[in-house]
Amino acid sequence: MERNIVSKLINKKESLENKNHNKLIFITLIMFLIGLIIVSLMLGRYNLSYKEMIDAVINKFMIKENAAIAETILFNVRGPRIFTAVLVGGTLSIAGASYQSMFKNPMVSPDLLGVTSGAGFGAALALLLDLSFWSVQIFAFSFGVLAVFVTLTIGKVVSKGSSGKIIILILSGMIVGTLFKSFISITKYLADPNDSLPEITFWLMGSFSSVDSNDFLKLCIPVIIGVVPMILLRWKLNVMTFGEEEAKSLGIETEKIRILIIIASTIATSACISICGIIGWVGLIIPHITRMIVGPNNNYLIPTSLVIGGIYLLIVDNISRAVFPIEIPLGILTSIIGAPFFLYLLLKARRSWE
Amino acid sequence: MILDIKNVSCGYGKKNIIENISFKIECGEILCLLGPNGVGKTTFFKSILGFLPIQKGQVLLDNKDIKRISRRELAKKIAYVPQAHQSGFSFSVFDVVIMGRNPYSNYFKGPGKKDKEIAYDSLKQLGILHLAHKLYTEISGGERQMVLIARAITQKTKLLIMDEPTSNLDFGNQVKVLNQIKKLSKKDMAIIMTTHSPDHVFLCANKVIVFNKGKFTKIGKPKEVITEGMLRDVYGVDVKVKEMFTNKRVKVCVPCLE
Repeated sequence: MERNIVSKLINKKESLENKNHNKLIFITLIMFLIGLIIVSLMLGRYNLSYKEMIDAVINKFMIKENAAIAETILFNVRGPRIFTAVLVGGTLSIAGASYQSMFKNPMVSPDLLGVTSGAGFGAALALLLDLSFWSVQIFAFSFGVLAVFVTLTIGKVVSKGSSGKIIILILSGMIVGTLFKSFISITKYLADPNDSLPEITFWLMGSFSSVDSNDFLKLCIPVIIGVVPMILLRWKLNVMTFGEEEAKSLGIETEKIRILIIIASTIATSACISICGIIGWVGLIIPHITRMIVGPNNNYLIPTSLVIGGIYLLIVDNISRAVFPIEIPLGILTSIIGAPFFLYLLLKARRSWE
Repeated sequence: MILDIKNVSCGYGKKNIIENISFKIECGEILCLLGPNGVGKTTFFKSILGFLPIQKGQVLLDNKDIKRISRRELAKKIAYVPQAHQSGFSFSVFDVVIMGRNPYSNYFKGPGKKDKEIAYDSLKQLGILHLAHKLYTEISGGERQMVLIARAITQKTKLLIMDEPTSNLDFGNQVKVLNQIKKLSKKDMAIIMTTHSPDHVFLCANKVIVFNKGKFTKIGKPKEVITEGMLRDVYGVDVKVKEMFTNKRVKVCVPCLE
């Protein structure tokens, strides 16, 4: 009895420490992100000093004189780009973390259900037709949702209510993904080689180079609509990792949660894709790294992967725009970093799969 | 609490696996489901828990059809203990156990202070408080089974449905789990469990249902139902059923090898 009480006290203390530990990590990461944003603002082809930056900010909001070069760079070029990188990185990571919990498999990401390819095709089609910004958004979202819908329908028809739904769903996602990738190829084939083909090709490689402050603000709307439900449902996602039936027996309406998460992540992901192209691997890698730091509890995992995802993509974008003499498309860099990391995960996970 | 199974038939799709079964279970009772592999014990469980639609008949919980009870309400009344399994994610044992409080929190809220206390109590009740901050993926199979039972207790239900709680456990852990099951029934919980061991039925059950291929089922007290003849019929092997005295009178089954 006495031992029990003692161990209870110890455990309570441990859990408290664990909780505070994760909170501390979260706050540290946010401060790091803020620092990184400030450094990134100064960094680039045209280096800004601290003083120039502060002057520009003061001028923008207080004096409102004619804009100097520093101010233009800060508010029209570099600022929007940096904040978009953070936003997109966080969004793709949080969508990945949600998917991994929902499909109880740490090896999946939103590309899984064909969202990325579907949204990619929608945006490519809109670019081919030379449509407006919002049309590109709507096309990307519509085809993203369509892709998910087709995947889910195939999954439903094939599995016929029997068990093993998840693996069938993943395979259906592969089919749909492949199909939409070939549709993307068709749009490239049909595109005008002097005009829209380079545009589509470059956009597909993923880049923030053409993002302006208007784009950033417009991107915020669908991203918030998508990300907020995922943050709010993080407790339910914990239970979902134990599978359909256990989650049901614990009182979760699994179908409802699944649809909610799929719609939320599709809105957020396709918005990102339509603005800056296909940026692979982020949704897979970042939740993994985050899990290594704060553990698999979605209460911490979801918010922390949002921050780490932002940090990651901002660093990669900094490399992309400031390290090499010519700008390297972001999607290429994330793949170069992502592939070996996935191999590492595979080697590490092999043990638990056997 | 009374769970009333009325003329239930169940199976996958149109395929019928269990036909026309009826029984009742009340608080404090332990009901064992016995039968060879593949006769549909799991299918039957899934139907009671509402994972599978019932083909015919009704499952009534305190005179209310479970079809008309929401998932969340049902999870406050029936808890399910699956077989000990691995998880792809390394949650701490405490994180796993506190998931049992899910039916009591709304969509967007996490567990509160009171929920945490209940989770700690469950761990304490099963004597596994020391595991609280270990990783669920790194404890033994027997410990994992205990953790899943703790999670079910955290749900504060009157009925516990357990899928082969003693399978894949070593001898000592089997006995520990059986002891816990008995303790829970003494705390006025009703328990339905499947098992492959007629000895376990003798040790803890008040009622037993025997499933056989060809849809023949038998319901009654273990001493009356489990006989040498029945075991030969159901499993196709020769078994002697003897009575012996440990700290009380129990029946045991000993197979006769060729």
